Amino acid sequence: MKIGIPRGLLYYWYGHLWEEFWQECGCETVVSASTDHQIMLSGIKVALDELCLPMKIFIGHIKWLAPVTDLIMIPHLIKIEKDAYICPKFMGLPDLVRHTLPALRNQFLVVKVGPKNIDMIQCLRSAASRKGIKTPSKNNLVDSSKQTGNSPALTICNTYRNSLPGNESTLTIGLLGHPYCLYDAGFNLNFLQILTENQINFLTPEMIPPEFQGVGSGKLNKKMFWTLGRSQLDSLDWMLRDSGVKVDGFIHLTPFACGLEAIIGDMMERRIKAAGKPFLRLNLEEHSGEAGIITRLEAFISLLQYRERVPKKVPC
Amino acid sequence: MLKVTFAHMGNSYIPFRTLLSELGLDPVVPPPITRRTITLGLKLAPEFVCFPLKVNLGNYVEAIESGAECIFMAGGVGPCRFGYYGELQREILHQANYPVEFLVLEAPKTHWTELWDKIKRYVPKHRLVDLFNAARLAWLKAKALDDFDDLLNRIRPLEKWPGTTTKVQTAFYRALDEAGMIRDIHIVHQRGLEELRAIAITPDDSVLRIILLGEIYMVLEPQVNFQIERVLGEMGVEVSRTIYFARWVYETLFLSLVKPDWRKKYDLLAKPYLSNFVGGHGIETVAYTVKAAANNYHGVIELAPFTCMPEIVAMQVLPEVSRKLSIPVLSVIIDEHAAEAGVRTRLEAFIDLLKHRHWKNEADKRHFIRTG
Ligand code: SF4
Ligand code: SF4
Repeated sequence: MKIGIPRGLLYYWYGHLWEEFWQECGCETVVSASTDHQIMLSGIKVALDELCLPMKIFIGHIKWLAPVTDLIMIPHLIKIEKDAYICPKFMGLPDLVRHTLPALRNQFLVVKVGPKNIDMIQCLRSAASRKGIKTPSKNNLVDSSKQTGNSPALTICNTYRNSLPGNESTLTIGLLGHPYCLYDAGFNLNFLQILTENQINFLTPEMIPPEFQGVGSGKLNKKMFWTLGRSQLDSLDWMLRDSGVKVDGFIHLTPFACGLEAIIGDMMERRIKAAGKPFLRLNLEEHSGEAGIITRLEAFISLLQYRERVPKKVPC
Repeated sequence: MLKVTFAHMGNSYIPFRTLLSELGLDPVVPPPITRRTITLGLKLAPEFVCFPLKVNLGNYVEAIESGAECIFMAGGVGPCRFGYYGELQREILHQANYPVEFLVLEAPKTHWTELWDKIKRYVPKHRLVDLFNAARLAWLKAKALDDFDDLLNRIRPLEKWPGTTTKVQTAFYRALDEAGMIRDIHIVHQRGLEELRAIAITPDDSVLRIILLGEIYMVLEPQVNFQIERVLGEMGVEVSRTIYFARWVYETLFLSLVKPDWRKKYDLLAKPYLSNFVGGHGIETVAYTVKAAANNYHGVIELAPFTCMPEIVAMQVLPEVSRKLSIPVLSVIIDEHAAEAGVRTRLEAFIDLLKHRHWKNEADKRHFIRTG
């Protein structure tokens, strides 16, 4: 049995875990290719205009997998931690894909996580048994992939960061955004690559040390009920406060018209400005040209370099 | 007396004003929403935040200009953005140096005592009897408004002299807003209904019947939905709203406490198309579209703000409901850039389509009877 895993949405957190799980069940796994223009377009073509781009890309990946696999895994992540959702669109994901791609309905292997049972492994097991796939009675997988070494996100980070020259004087940029914005090179126009080529060090929310988890979001007046908001606010707090990391500026990569980022991004921007750090927001959309993004990024980098050279003005 | 304000949502300012003044507060109702309100909100709000939040901000600023010191609003725990409106709006207004306090009333499910403490701190008359009396007056007004609007939407398409119903409506709203005692409310309520019934009409049994649904704020606030109910009514269309303020309050505050599975009926209706809760009114939108088809309505109009997450999920599945159950659906997305003329043209085209379908169906039926 060949199981397809779309390289989209929270694949960047859980992809390796999913692959290992299905392989332990004796299935072959196929991860869709990296996002390219073709995949993006094929998603855009069938989806409703108003849908956010990451969802359209996800649909494109499903279409890529359809001819080469028996089943396509649809991660229906309602909740992956207590008291927090991901996004209403994640909650309706099976309905969204069912109606956008009606011909593929029988090929979908929906793995529902939450709202009650949020244990990823158990949820994978019950999804498997619903499709009649035998699961090994015991397995060594642990549901901890989110921020441990075993996620595609961190693998990607490490590849880029290892290619950086080790000298101390480079700039460090704190990157904020959803994992599928930061790590999908086809979507963000090779953003991490560009940073590395410019010899800029970067930090991402996925690199947060365990002792900072839950701290930043815990400082809010009201508990935040979105996982992707918590993780970003935690990381922001870490990047601002940890004396071990020195962040020169922040970049927020957001998908055009994302409902959550409108709120979370605004809250983060306020905190970054209050800390006196430079901030840049890049909206990624279907037509965002590489040139535009690079120009804005370059301008931002020179601003950071300038600030580095010229010590802060002393108020007179 | 503490000057308290709140955001507009349709005619809900009438019960809110009563509620607050009965509690010993001084309500400052924001001026009616105008272009200025929206522009003020846009200046402060982040670009892709929901349109209702932007208009709310405009309301607050205008209310602060007229002296409001404190903002009352409801909270929530997701998944939709509404639950975080309060936090974000507070941060935004404080950053812009508006000296205003926020009282966000969170659902008692999460923190009972906190809610009570908050109320005690801000509300002068907080004995249980006071709360009960205030709530009862406000409830009666909200109920009267629902009844009135429901009947009004059935009369308006038939009115002989265009504009008569709207005139009666304005007078009724004013009288109800001024009514102070239970007895007055009852009298105004009954008189309002009688006046509606007395309006001269041209009976027409082939009137088009459509359902208006979608995101609650867009459905309830005529100043942002380009008065869609009135416009449709004046085109001769009978509009049934699926969201009424009093009923919504009853469902979210009362039913969800005593009968947590009250949403079941919607879930069941929507299930073949949308089987997951997606926040907001996503499920209701699909459920009512199914119901509209079953009840032989002629069409459905969905209203949603730009980037509204639940409605966008619903919008993605509505074409299939429409196809399978053969009910025409028009989705209208509204934000600060929507132009009245554009929306009007789309409405007119949709109504023409419905008329044509209706006429054709009737003709087919006649044909069937003759030949069959
Ligand atoms: S979080 Fe934003 S980008 Fe992600 S699915 Fe939801 S709306 Fe789309
Ligand atoms: S239902 Fe729509 S408009 Fe309302 S809070 Fe949610 S996203 Fe915003």
